[in-house]
Amino acid sequence: MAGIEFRNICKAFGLVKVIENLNLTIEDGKFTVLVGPSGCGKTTLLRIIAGIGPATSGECLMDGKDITDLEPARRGIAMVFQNYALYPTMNVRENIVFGLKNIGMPREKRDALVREYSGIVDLLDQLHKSPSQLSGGQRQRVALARAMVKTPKVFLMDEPLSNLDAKLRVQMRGELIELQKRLGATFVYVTHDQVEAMSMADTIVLMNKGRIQQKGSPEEIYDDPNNVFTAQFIGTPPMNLLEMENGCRLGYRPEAIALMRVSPGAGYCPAGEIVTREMLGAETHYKVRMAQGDVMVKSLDKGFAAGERVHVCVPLERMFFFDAQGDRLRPGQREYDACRRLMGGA
Amino acid sequence: MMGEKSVRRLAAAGAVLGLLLMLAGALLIKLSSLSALPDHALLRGVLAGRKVILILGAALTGASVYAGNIAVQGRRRLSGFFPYLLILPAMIFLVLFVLYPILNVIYMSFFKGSVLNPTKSFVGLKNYMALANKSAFIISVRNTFFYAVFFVSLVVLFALLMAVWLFDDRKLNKFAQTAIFTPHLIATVSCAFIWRWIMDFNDYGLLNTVLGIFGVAPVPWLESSKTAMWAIIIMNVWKNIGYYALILIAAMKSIPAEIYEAAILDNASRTKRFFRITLPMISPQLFVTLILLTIGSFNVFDSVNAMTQGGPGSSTEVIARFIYLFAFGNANSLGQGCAAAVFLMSIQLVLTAAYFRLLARRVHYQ
Ligand SMILES: Nc1ncnc2c1ncn2[C@@H]1O[C@H](COP(=O)(O)OP(=O)(O)OP(=O)(O)O)[C@@H](O)[C@H]1O
Ligand SMILES: [Mg+2]
Repeated sequence: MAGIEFRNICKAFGLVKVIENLNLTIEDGKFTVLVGPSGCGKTTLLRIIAGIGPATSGECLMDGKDITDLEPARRGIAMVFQNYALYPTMNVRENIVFGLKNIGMPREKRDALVREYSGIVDLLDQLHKSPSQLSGGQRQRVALARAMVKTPKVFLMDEPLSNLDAKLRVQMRGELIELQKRLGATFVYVTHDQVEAMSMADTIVLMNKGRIQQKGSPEEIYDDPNNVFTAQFIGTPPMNLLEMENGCRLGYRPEAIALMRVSPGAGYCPAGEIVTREMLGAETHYKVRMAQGDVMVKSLDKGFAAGERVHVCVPLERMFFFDAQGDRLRPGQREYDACRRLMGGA
Repeated sequence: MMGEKSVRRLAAAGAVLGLLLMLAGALLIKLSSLSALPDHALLRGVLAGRKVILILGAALTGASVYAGNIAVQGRRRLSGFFPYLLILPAMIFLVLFVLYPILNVIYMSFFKGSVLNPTKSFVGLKNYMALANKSAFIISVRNTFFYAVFFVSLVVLFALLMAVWLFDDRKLNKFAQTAIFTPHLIATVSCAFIWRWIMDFNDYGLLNTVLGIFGVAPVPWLESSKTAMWAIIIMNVWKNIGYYALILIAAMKSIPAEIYEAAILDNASRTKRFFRITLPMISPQLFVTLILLTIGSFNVFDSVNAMTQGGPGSSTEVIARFIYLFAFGNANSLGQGCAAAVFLMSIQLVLTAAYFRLLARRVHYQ
C-alpha cells in the first residue's frame, strides 16, 4: 500500500514552466481523481509519479520513502496511457502478458490472470488480434487490462474511459471502483469528465495551469468551493457569478434559485426576464437576464415560459462570496461580513 | 462544358497521335542516316524537322496523358483501354530500359560473338556449360558469395549498432551521423583510393603506421590473398554504414516514446525493449535494407576494380568483373559474359524470393 507525496515539485519543458511548486498528498488506498482543463498538467503529474517524466526539481515520496530517483519499474505502479501506448507488434494477449513475463511469472498463473482480466474488460474473444485491428474503445480496454493484470500498489490512469460508449463506460466505472475496493490499491485517475470525477472519487484534486485549485471530497468540492475556478468548473450549469458594488463577487448555484412570479418583498429577489428555456425531463434550465447580468436557473418547475418576467430568489445561506482575486470569502473575514450585509444579512 | 467522356476520348486521341508522331520522328531520324535517299524538297524539309517532330510527339503524348489523369482524378474505377493509356509512359520506359536489356542479355547468352557482332553464331547452352568448367568463373562466384555474406551481415550489424548508439538527439550525435554518412557521398573509386592509401604496405600506410605504434608488424593488406578480400569488405562496409544507419535511425524515430515508457513500466530490460519493440517496429526498413544490400553486394565491381583488380592472383575476382572482362575484354566471348550475367541475375532473384519466403512473415507492417 502506498500513499504518494509531492514536495515542492516543479516541472519545466525547456523554458516553459508547466508546474511550479506543487505540494500534494495522495492518500494510501484511496481513489483520487485529478481533474482540470486540457493542458493543466495532469498527465505531467502522472508521469512524475511513474518516473517516466521526472520533475525538474522537488521530491516525490511513496510510502514516506523518497522515490524521486527510483527506476520506474521498481515503483510498483501500473499506468494506463492517454493514447494507450499498446505494443503494436504484439497481439492483445502478448500485450497484457508482457509485464508478467518480464517478472518471470510461471505460465499457468499468467494464463489464468489473462483470462480473468480480459474477461473483466470483455475482450476474451479478441486476444489473438493485433492492436491495429481493434477499435479505439477496445484498445483502451486492452490498456486497462494490461495495467490491472499487474495488480500494482498504485494505479495511474490517464483518461482510461474516454473512448468507451456510455453504457460500457458506466460498466467499467463500476468495475474499476470494485477493483479498487478489492485490491485496496491507490488509484490516481485523470479525467475531463466531472460526472466521472464526482461519482468515482474519494478525493478530487482540481488543477488549473499547473496549480492545485482545491483538494477534497466530491461534497467539499461542490458545496464548499475555495475559489471561483472550482465553483465554476464543477457543476452543470456552472455556478452563477455576479459583480457586487464593493468589487467582490456573489455566487450561487443554479439549483439554489427559486423562481417567483411575484416578489415576496423581503431578501435577495432581483427581477429579470427569462430568455431561454431548456426542458431536460425531470428538470428545466432557464436563462434569466437581470440588470446585474445573466444567471442560469435549474428548476423542477417547468411552468415558466421564455419572455416571462420573474424574480430570482436566493436564500442568504446558499450564497458564496469571492474577493476580487477570485478567492472565497469565509465567515470571520471583514469583507465577508460586508458582502453579507450588502445582500441584506445581519 | 465538356463531359468527362469526351475529355477521355480527346486525351486518348491526343496520346495516340502523339505516339504516332514520336514513331514517325524516330523513323525519320533512322532514315536520315541512310545515304541513298532521293533528293526531294519536301523530304528534305521533313527530315530537317525530324527532331521537332519527335519532341512534339512526346509533348503531345505527355500532355494528353496528363490531361486524362486530371480529368479522371477521384473518379470511379476505370475500365477498358483508358487506364492502360494512363500508365503507358511509365510502361514504355520500363520496357525500353529494363525489360528489353534483360531479354537481350538472355538472348545473347545463347550466341558466340563480340560487342560489334553479338549474335555471330548460335551455340545453344554451350556458354553456360563453358562457365561451369571455367575455374576463373567458379572462383569469382565463390569470392562473390564470401564478399556478400560478410558485407551484408557486417553492414546490417554495424548500421543497427550505430543507429542505437546515435539515436538520442544530441549535438555530438548529429555530428557523428553526418560524419558516418559522408563516405556515402564520395564516389566508390575515390573511396577505394583513400583506402589503398590507408592500407598501403609500404612507407605511407596509415593503418600499418597505427598498428606499428602498438608493435604489430606491417600487414600487406592489399598484397596478400588472405587479406585482400577483407580489405574490400572493410572499405565497402565503411562506405555503407552511414547510409543504412540513417534509414534505421529514421525508422526508430517514428516509434512513439510512450511505447518504450510502457515497456519500462512493464519491467522490460534494455535488451528486451530492443528485441521486442525496436526490432519488430523497424522490421520493414530492415527487410528492405537487407534486400537492397544483398542485391547490391552481388554486383560489387568498382571497389574491386579500383583497389585490387581482382588480385593478388584471383583472390578478389568477382562475378561482375568476370562479366566485364569476358563481355568487353576477350575476343568473341560476349556470350559467356552474358551467360554469367544471367547467372548473377538468377542468384539475386532466388535470394530475394528466399527472403520473401523466409522473412516476410516476420516483418511487421503497421
Ligand atoms: N514533451 C513536452 N514538451 C513541451 N511541453 C509539454 C510536453 N508535454 C506537455 N507539455 C506542456 O505541458 C502542459 C501540461 O501538459 P499535460 O499533458 O500534463 O496536460 P493535461 O492536463 O494532461 O492535458 P489533457 O487533458 O489535454 O491531456 C501543456 O501546456 C503542454 O503543452
Ligand atoms: Mg493528458
